[in-house]
Amino acid sequence: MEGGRNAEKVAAAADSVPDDALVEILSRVPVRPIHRFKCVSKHWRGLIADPLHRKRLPQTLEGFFCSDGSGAGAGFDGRFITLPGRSAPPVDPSVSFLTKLPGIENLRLLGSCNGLLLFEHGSEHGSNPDTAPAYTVCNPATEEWVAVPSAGCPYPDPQFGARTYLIFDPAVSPHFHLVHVCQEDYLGEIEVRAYSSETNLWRESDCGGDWKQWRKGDEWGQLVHPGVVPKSKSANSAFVNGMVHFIVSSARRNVDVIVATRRWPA
Amino acid sequence: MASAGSGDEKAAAAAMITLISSDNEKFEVTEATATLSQTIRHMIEDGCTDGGVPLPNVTSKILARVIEYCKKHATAAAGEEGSSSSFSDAAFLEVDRAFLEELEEFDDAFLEVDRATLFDLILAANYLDIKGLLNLTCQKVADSVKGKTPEQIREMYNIVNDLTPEEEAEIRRETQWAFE
Repeated sequence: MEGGRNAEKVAAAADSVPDDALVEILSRVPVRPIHRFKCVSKHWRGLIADPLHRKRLPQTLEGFFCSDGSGAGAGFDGRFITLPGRSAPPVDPSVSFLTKLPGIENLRLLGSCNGLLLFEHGSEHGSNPDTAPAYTVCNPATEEWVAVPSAGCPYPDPQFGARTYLIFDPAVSPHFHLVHVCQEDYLGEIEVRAYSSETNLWRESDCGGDWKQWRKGDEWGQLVHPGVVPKSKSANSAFVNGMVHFIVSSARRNVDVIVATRRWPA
Repeated sequence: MASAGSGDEKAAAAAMITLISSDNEKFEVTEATATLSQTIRHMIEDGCTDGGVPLPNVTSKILARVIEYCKKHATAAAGEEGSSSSFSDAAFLEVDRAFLEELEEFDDAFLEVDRATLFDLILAANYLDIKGLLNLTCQKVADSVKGKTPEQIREMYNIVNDLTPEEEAEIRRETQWAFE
């Protein structure tokens, strides 16, 4: 009897815990149980899935996606490295939900941003400049994906600095953006295009001079003149404080400079 | 700046705050103790603590425990002596290792309560906005639930599962990795 009454009292206490306090408790629970606890009830599922709480709930590092840059064969050119002591990776490490899609070949991991992955891939008609390279952006946790058409850059020769960067900040917008930087030839004219998943369109740089403005140190400079070249492949970039940062090499001065795009989305 | 000696005593006497529990019990505490609560700190800043601070959400049993916690931690913040410069960095740095260990032991012992009391303490810490106490009590609950299955959680807290079998199956499918 006594035990029964105690149980009721505890239940009453748990029920009356305001959401704020419950989120305080859940924010101290590791990531796996947090996801299991979505099964407790509708209320718990709602609390845990609420975007307002997501930043407070744990987002622990389980491992890394990495690319060997080879674009090898039919599959995916990278793998998932699980941290020591972790069991099965929390996501499909071979992104088979993408590689099994018809017409996707040479899946190359270009980058990631806040949980989304950006892939470039060829198609069955791989050498056709009208169809390749196109992009796929996916969330490996939910296995949702979106196909993005080629940027349609007039300089499709991948030998020259064609770089594509992924921008996604769920705290700002549910939509992602791609920024594509391409160059006519070594040290040639630089062309910048941007894609929004909201409009599903690539826009050219003439949609606003801002696209071509970059921050060097404390100043905003123009990257329109020849004489610089984006360095290496897209992997060397970071999305920090709403700006994509990447490295360009100034041939004239023979130095590498980290440049940042304007705060994005503009 | 108050001079040493009787001046300090006067200042301390002037800085007493009366807290009134939901069952109308009165607790006299120093301002240093009371201001561990951001809620009460703001009330003091707004000058509305004359005649006591009514806390209609907190019973005397819980308030006594909360005050016990605040007294201990206010002392920790002030160094050995509870002076009015309780929050200066210099005083804090003087707190020695042994005292911090003692504080940890105090926290561990403080958490030796039944589940209902623990939840009441969380509610009080949330309402009074006492960061350290909220962290301590929430971490205790988090540690106790993290190894549990959803079924065990429902049983522990008498929560009714209102998800349809289809909804539950979908969550389990989406987050299969979390169940392995």
